[in-house]
Amino acid sequence: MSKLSTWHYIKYTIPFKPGFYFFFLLLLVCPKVGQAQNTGSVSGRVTDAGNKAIEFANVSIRGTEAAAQTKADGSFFLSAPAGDYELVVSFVGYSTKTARIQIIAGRTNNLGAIALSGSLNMDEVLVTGKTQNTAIKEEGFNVTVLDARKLYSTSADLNQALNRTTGIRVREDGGVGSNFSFSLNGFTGRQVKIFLDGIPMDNFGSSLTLNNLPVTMAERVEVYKGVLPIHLGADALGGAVNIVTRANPNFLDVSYGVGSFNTHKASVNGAFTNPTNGLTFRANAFYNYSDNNYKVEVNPIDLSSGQKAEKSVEVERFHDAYKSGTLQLEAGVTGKQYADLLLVGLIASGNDKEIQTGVTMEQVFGARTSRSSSVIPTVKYKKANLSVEGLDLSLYSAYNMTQNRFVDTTRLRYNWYQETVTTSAAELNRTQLKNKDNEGLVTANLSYAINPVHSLSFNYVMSDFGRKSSDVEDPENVTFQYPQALNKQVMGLAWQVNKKRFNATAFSKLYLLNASSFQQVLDGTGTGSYQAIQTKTSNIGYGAAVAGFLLPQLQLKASYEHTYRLPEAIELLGDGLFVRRNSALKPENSDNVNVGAIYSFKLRTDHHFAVEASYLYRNSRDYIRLDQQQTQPIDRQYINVGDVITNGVESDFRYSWKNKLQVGLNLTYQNIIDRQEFYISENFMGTKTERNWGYNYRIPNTPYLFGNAEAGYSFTNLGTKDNVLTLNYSLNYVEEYYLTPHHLGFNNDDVIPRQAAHNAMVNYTLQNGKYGLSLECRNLTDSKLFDNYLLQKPGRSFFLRARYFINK
Amino acid sequence: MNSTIKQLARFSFIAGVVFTSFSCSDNENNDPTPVSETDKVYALGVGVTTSTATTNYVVQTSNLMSGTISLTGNGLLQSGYRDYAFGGGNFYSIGGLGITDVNTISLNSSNQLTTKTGLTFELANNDFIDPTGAGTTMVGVSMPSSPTAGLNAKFYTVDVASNTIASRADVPMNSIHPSNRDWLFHTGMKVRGNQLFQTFYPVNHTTYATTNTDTCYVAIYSYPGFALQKVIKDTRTGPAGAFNTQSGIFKTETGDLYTVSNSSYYNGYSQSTKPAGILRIAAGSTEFDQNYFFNTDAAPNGGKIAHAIYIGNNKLFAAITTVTPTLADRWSDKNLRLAIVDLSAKTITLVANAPVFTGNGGRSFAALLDEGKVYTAISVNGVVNIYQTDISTATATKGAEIEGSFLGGIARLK
Repeated sequence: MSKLSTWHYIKYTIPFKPGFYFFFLLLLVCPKVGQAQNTGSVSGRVTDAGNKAIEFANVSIRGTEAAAQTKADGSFFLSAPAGDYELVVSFVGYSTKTARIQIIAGRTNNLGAIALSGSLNMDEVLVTGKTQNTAIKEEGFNVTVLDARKLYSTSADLNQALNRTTGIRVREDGGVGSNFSFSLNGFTGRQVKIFLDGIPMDNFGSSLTLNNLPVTMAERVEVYKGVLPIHLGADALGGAVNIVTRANPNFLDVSYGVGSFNTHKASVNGAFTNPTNGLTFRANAFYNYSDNNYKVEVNPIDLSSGQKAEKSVEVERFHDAYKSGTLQLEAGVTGKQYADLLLVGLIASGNDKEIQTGVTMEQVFGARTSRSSSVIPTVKYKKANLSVEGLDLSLYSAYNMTQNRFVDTTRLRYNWYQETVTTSAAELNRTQLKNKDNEGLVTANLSYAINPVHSLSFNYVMSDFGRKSSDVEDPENVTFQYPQALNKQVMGLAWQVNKKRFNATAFSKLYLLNASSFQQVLDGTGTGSYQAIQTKTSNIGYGAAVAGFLLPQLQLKASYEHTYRLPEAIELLGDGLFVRRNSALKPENSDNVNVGAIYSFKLRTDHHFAVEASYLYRNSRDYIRLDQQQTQPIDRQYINVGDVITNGVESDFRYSWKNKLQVGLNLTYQNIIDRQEFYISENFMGTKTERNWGYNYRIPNTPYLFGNAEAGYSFTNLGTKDNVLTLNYSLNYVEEYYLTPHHLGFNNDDVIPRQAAHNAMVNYTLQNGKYGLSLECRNLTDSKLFDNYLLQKPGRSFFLRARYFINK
Repeated sequence: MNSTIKQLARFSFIAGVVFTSFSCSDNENNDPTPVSETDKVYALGVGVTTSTATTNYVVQTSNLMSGTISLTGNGLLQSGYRDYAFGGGNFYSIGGLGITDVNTISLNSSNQLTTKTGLTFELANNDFIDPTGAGTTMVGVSMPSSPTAGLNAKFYTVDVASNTIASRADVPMNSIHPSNRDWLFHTGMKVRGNQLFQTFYPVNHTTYATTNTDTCYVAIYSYPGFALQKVIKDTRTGPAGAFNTQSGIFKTETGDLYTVSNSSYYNGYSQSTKPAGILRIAAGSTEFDQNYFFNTDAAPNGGKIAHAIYIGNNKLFAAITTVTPTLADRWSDKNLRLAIVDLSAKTITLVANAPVFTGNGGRSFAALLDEGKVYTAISVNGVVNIYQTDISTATATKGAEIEGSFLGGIARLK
């Protein structure tokens, strides 16, 4: 429900107070004197069947641009030229209501209460991305809003959900809990930032990553491509993902599922709000387990002869079990004088993971494990009209304490037949590495509506990260004794204009970094000494976004940002041993442009079409990479390399018929070209010029053409009233690509083959979604799927899931 | 550009037919260049650095002296990092992703490169040599890089004909160099009769600090059994060889062994306490020859020999430093000149017409002795060329350009 999302944001940056409506109207009406006399308005209040106000319900006047969301008391106010219209009122989980209304020039027609009937699960069909209601995606940002509610009936984690979105490829090494890389328009790793309710969660430990979080935890997921609004303050080079947790005041959502490879997934999400005193409790708990013992095709190595088998065989993975669990609790108050929202919470999370393979399936492990645990206290505070009308504050903060462990202490070497030979130290490298991360995070947003058209907002994000490492197997390691610390602050200031058919924002961001580390000082005695080093940098980024309706059904948007990804402490200052300081290191920077159009229309009354197309351009420079020219084991440096130009197009097509049939199709093409002709590395080895043999070719090991297709059909009132049977089919397609530069070499065998994953689901819900039962089949054709070179993903799998959901 | 158009065409096609499966052929029309019966064939291991990684290819050529050796649509991709060795008509490419596997590359009946796979080593390989030149058996050694990776040095022989491991032996690392402070890194090995001689240097496996630079060490093993017999030491110079090189020890036609020590900062030493120099283990002896020491620091045209190959008649073809290395430029492997080192006359002759260059970070020295000439590659301002050195005149001639970043290995297959 993108409608909700964008307005939700606007809601606390530009409050539409009754007083402002007056100004708003004045402003809109005054220039159009000729029309002014013909304009009237309509007001009312949206409630549920129990006469409780529904906030954020979408109200629009069909055939006009007039659209709004209801306020906390359910009220709305719309204006339009005089005439007879259809008023459309909708809210997720409820049936859509239409009513014939008349607008009389110069008058306000008060409709009173409009009641929406109970929770209807017809919306919960497996079609992701945008809803048909494009009119609400008002901002100029290239944002894709994934409505998580539509996926509540599936067992999908957020990665799987996001993987169906244009521009996004989540590349997984294997099954449940496997390592993955999240790429957005070709940007990966720390170039893309992940937020949880606006708090950067990049360092939240491996049990709080997108592949662990169930969709039921989120209300929606916002994907910003290239250009970030300032309320997501971060040094993201190529965009960000913001997970917005569920905000329903009262609900309970419980599910449990079991599937192939001994996979179990359970989740409990709920909230309770006392309507009289405003006391609020929220809880999210989930648990994932899988043996991941799916079959893969490999060439096993005979441990006694060292020969790799010529013929491939199918074997079962035997050391790949994964379990993770998370509990998130929040308690506080809502609707108080001093706070619209004040929540104190705690996230406790952990995982346990067996490691089956190395960089490819040729490297097999039978005993290596990793473990992670995180404890994260949080505070959320929101207040509108803070001392001054129109001044809104939101303040989120968290303190992240994460511990990651990695263990390799078994003196055995395994092969795919689970045969072993003894080794003298470990499977690969004896270790019991323990990384203790502590990170303080603060996000503050302050916005002030100067008038209904103009508003200012200010954002401040601070993260203070430190890591302490130790390894009882390698206690002498000097990098453990000399830790690094990194403090980042990002401040943003934005000016926004909201007019009826047009809105725009211009913003600037200040990136501050303060890093500290240690460096080795050699003195010719062989060992040398260590001294503390520190550095501070500042950079200024800027951007703008505009959006406007050319026609009531056609929206155009464009955005631009000059952005930075700040170096990590180790990249800038080194770690005292393996990496040496590079004081000349610059942040990665990128110029990002998006241009897009959204067009939606209806044929007769039942056929809804929506088409979205966007073009994106990225010019990214100064990627920070470990110097490839240096081959020594220690004292290497991070250098700035790269000038990459991305030209991409994304398209998305949706069709629905009577809320019964839904068809979606999207395709992403991104041409990511290396434009760096020479490497001129000016490091301590002097100036060195090297030709880049990838110049003018596509960056290897990056998907460039991929897409998704989805179709769903709902049979309503099946058996009895309010029972719904939904059938869904989806296809995930990725064109083949290569691990290494494909123009070099002949008949290279490093292909990541074309993927076509077919998935199907049957979902049956009773009593308006109160009870649900779904059966999913992933990879229906049992294809061999790869996201990475020689790392096979699971074959055909089934998953059965039961759900209980109540919403008050 | 062409590929862009192709991709755009492909894209629009897909967009049009909407996810219908289709196939398209990569039309890289790469018919191999025919090789005539009289042509020589060289195999080159070429490393290519792009923005994302370094990739390696093995490419063949019959002409080292003119034109370009290109990898565009040409050459066999070698996954991961690679080291190269030669024996029995095979060019061995050793490395890979995760595991250490061996691509055994030879010529097929039409004189094109062909790869045999299957052979793997359980640890990263340090050296792989043809001990006698007969081309029937190869000898390899893998030394764990730290006690966390393993406690035993692993020696093995490989039967060339079957491309399989024929024998293996474990030698505890702490029996070779008992120390609670230092670990040891392999720098070279040679087989003489029924013994194998190995040079190494002591190093802190975590910090790579070298606090023990007063002694040159040679470990002597039985061959082919690889039982450690003894470790001989000499304090006239420092340890032989340096990090990730195989230039620590050489054998002459008569069975004399020479160890080459540099303790050079440029090759990773963190201190240098003895002059760079060469020691001898005379034929028939298993002790250092106390009557032979060649101080290469003090010799005219001298310096520290970073890399070398043996080219016959008691001579080395070497890369030698032109200035005294400084600690600030540790690991840089720079300021090198090509030189011919006469081990018996104790002279160093710089190769004329060859520029000062920087090594490729200490990987094995890619140089090939062929019919009185030595072929190696030097990069100047990012352009890599073959340099042919005439041993008799110590003069270099610039040859073919290699369209890559560095030459990792070179051998003549025909």
